[in-house]
Formats: sequence, C-alpha cells, structure tokens
Amino acid sequence: MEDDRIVDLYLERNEAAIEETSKKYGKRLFSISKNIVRNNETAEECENDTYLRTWGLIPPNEPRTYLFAFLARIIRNISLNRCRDDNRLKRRAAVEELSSELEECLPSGENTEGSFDEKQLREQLNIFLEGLPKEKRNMFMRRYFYGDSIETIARRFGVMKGTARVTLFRLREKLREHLEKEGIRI
Amino acid sequence: MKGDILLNAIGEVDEKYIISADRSGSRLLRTVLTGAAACLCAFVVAQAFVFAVDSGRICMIDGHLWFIYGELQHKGLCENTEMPPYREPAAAGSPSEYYDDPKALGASLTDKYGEYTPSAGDLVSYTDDALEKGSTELVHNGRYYVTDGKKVTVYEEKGSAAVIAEIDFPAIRMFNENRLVIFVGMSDDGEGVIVRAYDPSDISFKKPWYEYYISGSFEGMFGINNENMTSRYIVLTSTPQGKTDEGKTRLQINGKDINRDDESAVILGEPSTMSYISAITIKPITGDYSDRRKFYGDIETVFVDDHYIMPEVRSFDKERLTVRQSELYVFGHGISSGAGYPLGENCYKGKLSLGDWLGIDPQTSPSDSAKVTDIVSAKSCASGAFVRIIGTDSEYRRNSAPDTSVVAMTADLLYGDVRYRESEPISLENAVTDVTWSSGADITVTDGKQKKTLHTDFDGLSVSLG
Repeated sequence: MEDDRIVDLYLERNEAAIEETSKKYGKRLFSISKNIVRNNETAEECENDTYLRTWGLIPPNEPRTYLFAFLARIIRNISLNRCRDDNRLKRRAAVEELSSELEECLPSGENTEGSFDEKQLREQLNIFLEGLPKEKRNMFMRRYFYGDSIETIARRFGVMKGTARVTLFRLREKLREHLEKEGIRI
Repeated sequence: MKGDILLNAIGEVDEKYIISADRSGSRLLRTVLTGAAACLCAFVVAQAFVFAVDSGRICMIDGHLWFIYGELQHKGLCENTEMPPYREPAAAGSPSEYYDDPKALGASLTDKYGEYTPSAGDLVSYTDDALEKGSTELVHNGRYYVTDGKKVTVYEEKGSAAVIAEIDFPAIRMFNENRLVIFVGMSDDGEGVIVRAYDPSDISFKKPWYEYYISGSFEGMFGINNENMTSRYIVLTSTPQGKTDEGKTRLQINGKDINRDDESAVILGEPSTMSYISAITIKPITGDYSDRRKFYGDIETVFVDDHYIMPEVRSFDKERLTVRQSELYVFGHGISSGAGYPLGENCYKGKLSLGDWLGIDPQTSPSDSAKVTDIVSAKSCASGAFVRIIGTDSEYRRNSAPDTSVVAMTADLLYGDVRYRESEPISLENAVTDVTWSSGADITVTDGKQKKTLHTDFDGLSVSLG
C-alpha cells in the first residue's frame, strides 16, 4: 500500500493503518531498533511502541511523502531511550559508542557547556550533510542515524572496513570544523 | 555525555537524508551490475514478477527475490514464477544442509534478516551509478561497435578500418549482452527511447532481434537472468507522461498505458525528490529457446556458499558458452564457507572429473575446502560468487571438431551472469580426458597424449589459487 493511503488510514482512525505500516515497514523498523538495542525482544517492543506513538502523532502530522523517515525517527528515539534507561552494559554500550564518537565532533573550549540552541544545531547538521558527497553522507547517516556497525557499513558500501572507519573519522573531523566555524557550542 | 546531544540531533535531520541513507549502498550494486546490460524484448504481462530495485544485489533463491547488501537482507516473494525443479546434489563431498533443502535456506535467512515483500508500485530508490549507462563504443565478440549518435558502425576489430556494417540507428548508448548487442536511441518524437537488439551472427544487421519503444527519457538499464533461460532486463526511463485518470503515474509501453499496479511494472523513485522512474521487465518473445536449450546443459541450481542457491544460473548465457551438457562443469564457491561443490549429475558423466577440474587436489574430494577459502578471501564478497567452467568450444564457434577444442571460462554468478571471460580456445588432437588446475590461474588439459594450458587470469574476474 502506498504511504499516502496508509497516512489516510491513520487520519481516518482506522486501525488497519498500523497493520499496513507493520506490513510495509515493520522489518525495517525492527532492524533499526535492533541495531541500537541489540536484542530481539526489546526491538520488538520498540517496534510496537513506535506504532502506538505514530498512532498518536498522525494526525496532526501527515507524513505522506516521508512516512518511512517519520517512523524511523520515532523508533530510533524510542530505542535510544530504551538503551539509556537500561542498565545492562551491553545495550548501553551501543549508544555510548556512538555518543563518544560524536563527542569528538564537538568543538573544544572552556565554559561552553549548555550554550547551544537545538534548532540551530539541527540546521547546521542539515547544512553539513547537504555539503557532503552522497555516498559519504549516507555512510554518516548509516552510522549515526541507523547505528550500523563499521563492518556493516563497509559491506554495504563495498569498501574495506578500514576505509569505512577512516571515512567516518574524517567526517567527524569535518563536522567538528563545521560546528566550530558556525559557533555551535554544547 | 555531550555526544548524546549530537546523537539526538542527528535523529532530527531532514527526512531526505534519512531516506537516502536507507536506500544507500550504490557502489556494491555498481560493481555487480557492471556489464550487466542488455535488453530482450516484450515486457511481461502474464507473469507476476515484481521487481524492486534497491541499492544492493538482487538474486533469486527458490522462487524468492532477494535484495542483498553484501549479505542477504530483504526478501520478496516472486509468486507465479516457475522455478526450475530442485535437483538432488549428485556430488560427493559435504553439501550443506541448505543444499538439501533450499526452502530451509529461505526460512533461515528470513529469520536472520527479515522479510520484505515488494509490491508493484512500491517506491524504492535507485542511484544513478547503480545503473548500467552503456557506452558509445563497445567490443562484442572481437568486433568493434561505435556510434556517432546517428548510426552505428561495426568494425572487424578495434583499430581496424575494415567496416563490417553500418546500422542506421541513432544509438546514444550501446550495451554488450553476451549474445546480443543492444542499442538505445531516442525515438523520433523525442519523448521515448527505442531499444533495439541485434544478433551479431547476422552480419547484415538488417533485422533486429527486437525493437521496443518505451516512453520517457532514458535513464539506464540493467539485467537479471531468471527462469526459463530467458534474460529479463529492466529499462529505466523517466516518466514524463504525467498522471493517469486514476491519478497514478503514467507508464506506457508501445503507446499503451500500463497500470502501475500491473506486476510487470514497478515505479521506482525517491519520495523525497519525486523523481519517478519506470522500470519494465522484459523478456524475449522471439527466438526458439527450446532448440537452444539442448546445447546449454541443464544446470538448474548452483550451490554457492551457504548463502546462495541460485536457480537463475540456468539462465546463464549458455548459448554463448555453448558447452554441451555432458561436457559442462560448474563449480561454485562463495564468500565465507569456501567449500566448493560440483553440481549436477552430468558432472560425473562427462569426460572430465569435476574433482580434477577443481584442481585443488584432483586426487581428493572436492570438499577439500581449505584452498577454496583462500580463493574466496582473495576476492572477498564485493565481487561475489564466481563460477569457473571449462567445456568444449563447440556450437558457437562451429568448430569442425568441437570435442577437441577447449575453452575455459570464469564468470560472475551473482545474476546467473552476464559477466564472464573466457580463455582463448586451444585445440587438442583428441577429446579431453583430464583437467588439472594446479596453481595460479591456469588450467591444464590433456587428451591423453597432448597437454596444453588454458590461461584464465581474466581481468577482474579471475581468482588466483593461492
């Protein structure tokens, strides 16, 4: 079923919307969550939570042309939060790994804690991504949005693991320079 | 952690980047698709065959269409696709459990990677570089084709001034299909593309093998082989035809509206850009394939690693290989397990011993996988699975004594194959009695009296034995 129609079902408050969403995107959503929570049962729970959250968000939202991205964001957030709330080291480790890598992107400096604007940060990330070659941008997103491992990224893009690692490192460097230049402080 | 703030913010970036990354992985497909271009006419209406193109490999397993990103990831059912009957492995060695039960393989992979069933009309992304764009010059079977956008000139060979034929067709791109040469040109009305294919064995080039009109601007094309030894190819065009009365994107073939719900056609495009692309599956409608089939052998399943069972290998361009069934030897090896297995009962009925052919150790079982693993690791998964074939060079070249002329081939099997290289044929006094593949890329054959070497270090396709 087309996204447009699925969104219509949500707007009509037709529960088939969830079924259709699950049918069309369930596995991919599960996969996003699994990358983050690294556990089948938890990923399933996150997937179900995503449907519930989506049910509550449409309406007022009408993501007719970007339903998957809409869902992906939701499940990513839910999964990240589950990891952060979870005391089991293995799960938290996944998020901490990504988080610590991204910390390298933050400009250094004293007394900078807290002085940032979320909206501004988001805008600058968009500008940064827009300026990247498509393949590099996708690699960056696969790693930091989808939570893919280096190995998975290497396989997906047909490069050596070392190449993927170095590319991501350089992208982080570039992001740090960009944020620094734009005066983003966290 | 402060990195968390950034991690969260990345979750809020523009949707188009999320979608684009979801579809990413183009380099792999580009690798796989290189050379996989061609077109064999008439789109498929009767057969429910759903294509979705994602940035990964595509192959078929036991009637299922798989999309692969380096490893199997999504699966879509290809209903109503007549699959070749499963054949019991005739080989010795240690076939995997999956070889015994392809369905178990499917189930196992579904468990592991999840299932995705594409529907006609699904929006899926593609990337420009995932498509075979074709070229304005190509070499096919030694001959050199070049187009100036108005006509195609065929030379005896590259660099030669000897013109074999001039084809009055305004080709903008040419493709090198194993058996056919394919030209793509703009239609007279400028609103569509003409896809025309010739069988180069008819050097008059007067009658195309087929010609097809597809509306829209040419974007690219690629091929996938499948059942019934018919290659199936997809031509991608943009669709300037607007909307149908039902508000659906209009897709036409030969002036006729094709309902995008028709399972023979899938509209591809990226929602973020709404750049819709028409994808049409087409297959040959002319030519007597049943006749040709007798030359082809009957390889229906090739076991390639624990991951793949690829029925489409039977659509390997066997006409080009033209080895007869009793003389065809196939060996597949894969990515991780490395074990190779001979396939098909005729491997044992032929004149050559498959174990010998493998050349790992002709005296031992082909299940000796150690060296195969070395081969695999040398090539890794980016290029996927390979098959090496040796057979008599018979029908295609119409040798008078085909059994004594031998050619070795290496082919990329990811699609059942469009890519392959073959060695120069060598001639022996008598039929081949033994083959060894001792080291390096060369294969030694003997007829019991003479011993000759086939050089198989084909560019980009060979995998040297360690």
